[in-house]
Amino acid sequence: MAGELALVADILSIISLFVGIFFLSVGMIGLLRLPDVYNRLHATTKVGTLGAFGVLLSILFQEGATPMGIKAFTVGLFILLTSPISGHMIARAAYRMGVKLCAGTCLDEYAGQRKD
Amino acid sequence: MISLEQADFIALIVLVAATAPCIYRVLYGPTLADRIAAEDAMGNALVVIFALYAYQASSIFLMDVAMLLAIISFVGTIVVAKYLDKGEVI
Repeated sequence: MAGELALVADILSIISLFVGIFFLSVGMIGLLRLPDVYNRLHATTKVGTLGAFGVLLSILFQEGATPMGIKAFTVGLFILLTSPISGHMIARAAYRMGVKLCAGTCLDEYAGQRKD
Repeated sequence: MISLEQADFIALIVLVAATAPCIYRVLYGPTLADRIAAEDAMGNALVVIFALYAYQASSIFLMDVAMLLAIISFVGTIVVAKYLDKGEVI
């Protein structure tokens, strides 16, 4: 029974590690290739949520409920909660600084909606 | 078939290679918001590098370094974004 549980933990760990590494790589490629600040932010917030949380969740699956596993899960949960907030702050600061949208943009719903 | 230790080592190599686009974007980004976004992404990647290396070296103190780096990176990003937004921090 214990051996089967260890096998299930190994499989879950491998799957979450691959998901995390995939989203980290896709986010970095998007940071390099996309044409605009807002498009790049769309790519790089995935690095924080799915990428980092996936890799740290795989550490939790490999370690179990040891202090290192719990601490890795805590770090992943912190990044999962704070990465969308920082992405939102950067996007709002960029829009209020007057960074232009890229040439292929077809809809800007925030234009003319500012109160202050 | 690769083992879990080899998978962790390959993941560490991919993570170190993934900081190169961030460094390029910090150096040559057209606007200031590009640089902040790249710095935020690089902070997240560095946290994951620290956590994976702490797991490989089975050193629990390096995991504290990862946690502290996550907090400092978030606070720094928020401070710079608020400074660019309003011209003051608080």
